[in-house]
Amino acid sequence: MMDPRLVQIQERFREIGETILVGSGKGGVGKSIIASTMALIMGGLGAKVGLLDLDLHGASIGWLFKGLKTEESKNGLIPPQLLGVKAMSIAFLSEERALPLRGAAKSEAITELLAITNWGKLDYLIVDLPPGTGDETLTALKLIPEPKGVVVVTLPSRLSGVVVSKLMDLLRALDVNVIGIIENMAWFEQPTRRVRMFGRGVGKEIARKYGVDFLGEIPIDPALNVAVEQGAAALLRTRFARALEKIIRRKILGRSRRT
Amino acid sequence: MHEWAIAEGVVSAVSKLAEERGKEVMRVKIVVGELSGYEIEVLDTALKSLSIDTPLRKARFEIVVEPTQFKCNFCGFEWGMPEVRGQLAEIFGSENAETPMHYIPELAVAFLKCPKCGSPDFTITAGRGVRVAEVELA
Repeated sequence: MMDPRLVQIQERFREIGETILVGSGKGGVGKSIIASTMALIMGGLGAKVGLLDLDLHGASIGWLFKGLKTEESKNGLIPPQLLGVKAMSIAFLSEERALPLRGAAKSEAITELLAITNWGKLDYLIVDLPPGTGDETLTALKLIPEPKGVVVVTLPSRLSGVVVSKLMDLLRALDVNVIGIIENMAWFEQPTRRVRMFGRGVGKEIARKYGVDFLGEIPIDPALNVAVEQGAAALLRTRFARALEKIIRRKILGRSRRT
Repeated sequence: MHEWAIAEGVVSAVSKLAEERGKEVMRVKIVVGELSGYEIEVLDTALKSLSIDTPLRKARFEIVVEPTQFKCNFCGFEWGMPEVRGQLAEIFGSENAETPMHYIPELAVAFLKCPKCGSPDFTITAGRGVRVAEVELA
């Protein structure tokens, strides 16, 4: 028995320069907005970028790419583009309906998504991994050939630290490179002081414990939600995006083979 | 349209196997799930066309459509495509329309429901996707 999709996936990834996975053991840490904004920032810097949403249950890049559709081609589905970034999500095909999938079916769905998406040539593919260490994450880590590594996102809270450490253990066990840790929602700026409402230092602690880079902190940006509603261009003007861009320029692209 | 991409995957996978063994391919049996709704003639044409200049150039392609079977995880009821044709027609306008399941069979849970209890929590137990079941080398 032979699965032609596996060869197809290998061939698709031959066209892709570097694959950067964005993950977190925990949901609700801002992983998807970081992955999406990262793709848009890198696209804005002149790279050919793709964004792949593998969060089957909480597929959320659709909000940014709403109204856009995939296009059929002889060689698979061509992802829609926004500000030059190609994006693919199962939500484009499920019409935003719920996907009550169980274990093996999730792996099959991810395998199909990887096999059917015709990215063409890309400099970077940013992959929004599902939260946790279950079937989807394991399938993605198994099938995506030689990723540059994982950007791991945490909140500054102890709880987030505990859950994110489980992902770090998994990545270490599978020998997957970790590019570094981003601490999101690190503080909230008040006129006279910074309020660290979720605590402090967890991102640095995880980085130290696992011997990986701490990439930086991103503050809570009250303007983010409205900007997301307004669209990608507004998103790129937020304080959130500026903080992420600094991290990308200094810590991610700076170490890339392509820059 | 997706048939060409599928054919490319099959030809690449089988070519790799044949090249590793230094042999030519005489016959390939491909099983396709009914749920995918592939057009067999298009798939066959694509396979033949893409096989020129590969170790599959002399191959005979045998394409078998496997009936799709579902099992409800809630009430245990088992059913096949005929029982959900009405649901497909209601959602997509025609029971023969190309559906998102053409690309990802697992999307069935987003569109279909158990005909007995109405649950969307079911498993595709047979007849999904494509697999190369047999390869005969010379």
